[in-house]
Amino acid sequence: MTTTTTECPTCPETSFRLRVSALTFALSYIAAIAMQEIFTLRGLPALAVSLLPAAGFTFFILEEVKLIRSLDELHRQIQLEALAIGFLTAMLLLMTLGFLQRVDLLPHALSTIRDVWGVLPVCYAIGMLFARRRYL
Amino acid sequence: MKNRLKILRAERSWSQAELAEKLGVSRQTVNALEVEKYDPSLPLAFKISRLFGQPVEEIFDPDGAGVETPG
Repeated sequence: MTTTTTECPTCPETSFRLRVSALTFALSYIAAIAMQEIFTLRGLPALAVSLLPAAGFTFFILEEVKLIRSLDELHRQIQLEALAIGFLTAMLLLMTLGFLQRVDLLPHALSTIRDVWGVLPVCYAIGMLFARRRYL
Repeated sequence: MKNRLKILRAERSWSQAELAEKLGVSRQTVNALEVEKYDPSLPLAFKISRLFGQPVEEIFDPDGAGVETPG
């Protein structure tokens, strides 16, 4: 998710496609939110709009996998450690949010599953920070 | 793991970037190997061995005793 061309000299094209896929996802996400806010959607249109960001994100996943496969062994190891740390950090965060919700201490913005996914990239970033400090 | 990568590279007057290109890895990987923050995989260790024309055990030493390391 955060790989640059200097880390991966052999894959600038893949890195460019990753940025395009990230932009595609961002646009699909904004479009879906806008359509849900503007229109009163029911049935099939509501389903289609709800799944729109998933399509954009699937494109992003495919490009991310291509990029990780093109990395050298050190950067793959960094990604692996970042994901492991990020996953456990996400578990810790979600568990804590769950406990806070049980006693009504959770901020409103985090009170539904709708917005919680947004903290997961932060967990990944924390993992990257630790993994990069270890090796670079 | 101790290694002589920096010495071997210096003997050939190669930059980290040049060595990285010959090994098919990033410059950061070469640097991490030289400062012993990262131990190479077996395929990469053999690639390094072939490139410098020396046995793996003369370049890398897991015990850190038999290999002269850069200062």
